[in-house]
Amino acid sequence: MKKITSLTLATVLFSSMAFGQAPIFTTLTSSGKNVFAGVKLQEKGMEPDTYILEVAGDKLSSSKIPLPAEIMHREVIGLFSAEANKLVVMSQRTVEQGDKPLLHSYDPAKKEWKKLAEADCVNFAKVKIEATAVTFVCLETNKKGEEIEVPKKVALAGVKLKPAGEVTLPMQKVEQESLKAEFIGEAFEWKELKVGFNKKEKVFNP
Amino acid sequence: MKKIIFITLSLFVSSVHAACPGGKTYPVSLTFDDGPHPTLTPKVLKILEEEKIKASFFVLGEHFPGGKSNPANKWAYDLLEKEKKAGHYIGSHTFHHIDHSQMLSHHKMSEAEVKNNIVRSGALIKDYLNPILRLPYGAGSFHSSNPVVQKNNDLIMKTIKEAGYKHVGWDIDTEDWNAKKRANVLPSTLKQICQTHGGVILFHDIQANTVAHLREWIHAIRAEGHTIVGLEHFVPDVKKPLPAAICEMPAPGKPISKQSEDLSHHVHQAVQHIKKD
Repeated sequence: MKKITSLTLATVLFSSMAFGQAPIFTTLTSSGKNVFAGVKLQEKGMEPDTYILEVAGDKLSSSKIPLPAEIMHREVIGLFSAEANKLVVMSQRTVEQGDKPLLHSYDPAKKEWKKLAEADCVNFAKVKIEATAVTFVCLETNKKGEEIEVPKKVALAGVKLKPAGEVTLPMQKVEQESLKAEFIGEAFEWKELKVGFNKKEKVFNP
Repeated sequence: MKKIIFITLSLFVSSVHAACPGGKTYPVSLTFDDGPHPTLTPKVLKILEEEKIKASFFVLGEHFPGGKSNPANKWAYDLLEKEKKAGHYIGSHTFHHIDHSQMLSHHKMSEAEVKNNIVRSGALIKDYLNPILRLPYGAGSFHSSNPVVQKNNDLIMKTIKEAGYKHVGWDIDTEDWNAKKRANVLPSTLKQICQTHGGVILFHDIQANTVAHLREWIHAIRAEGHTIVGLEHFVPDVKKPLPAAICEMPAPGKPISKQSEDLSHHVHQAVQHIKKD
């Protein structure tokens, strides 16, 4: 019996690794009360399907925030807390080649989405988060075929972020007040989100 | 018994991060999108020659505006000539690097403009072209859970087929363009080769980072026991003659993608710089 159980376990492990179809977390942020994490499901031959998982810190319960049609097939590459409990979502098409990142705001109270901006920057890992703007540290190839950094600032159409300075994306660990969250597992293929609030702790799957 | 199971599982888990499970090895084929680039593509060609690899290049038509009659395109045609002479395959990556599916879904382009962008490269590069095409972002070749997107994707794939192309996607997406995952390009590529049992690998010959690491990545793939083969191994149609429909020049379309215009401008500037040197 033990043998069968172990073999079954190995088979299940192999199957999930072999086909790589399990949804994964892509980035996260914390408002101090809630944790928000981007989720991507990429099955072979399919457009990627994406959404945001919200975890309420006090209850350690999760809910799904669907994305608007414009970004439902784009990877959530950055999440930032904004004033008035809003969330700013940075998305990019990451299949084959990156496109220009889009910035949207989400108001959870009204369940409303608003497009804020499109950044003229395909390739970047670092962004500077200020109150009313995001500056992309854009990597471009110059005339000689060398890679250079070009800062590109994007205003946020009136939405005010909580300034966080320079951030390297994707975020995989956050700690704010009594709320802690981090992805667990292989880099860029995170399948578990561990959230701790005060002395309680819970692991979530996408 | 417990000991044996533990050892077996340990070997299995550790093997995921090195060679493929069971020591299996697979054939892979290298493909490069978005070129040619005046300074980076020659470096890629040199590496491929030294490593004795036959690869495939999916080029953008916007690098050949006005065709051979435009002397400013000589550098780009010279590179196609070199690619062809070296035995590499050349495919179309459409004219501008746009998301055709999204252009239709968000009414940013008409059906006619989208079709034009898909097929108009053929006449410009017909002397070098194999009957293969890869859509930018793969957009249009995937199935979507959104019926509107799916309808548009069906139209895009029908256009490609009617023009006489075989659409060539990829099995292994290296994300070599992505600074956010830069340290992960090689581990992810090796892992995907195991998961997909080999297949077509996607790179970009306009990325400085790719050129800087290409030889190292090739050596790492071979060190795992995998074999680098020509695209015909996976896509026999690549060897078919070019259908006449591909070579016909359609009515001019409206280039509207700012991103594509930026890329054109960048390549044009690079060429001017080389000329000055």
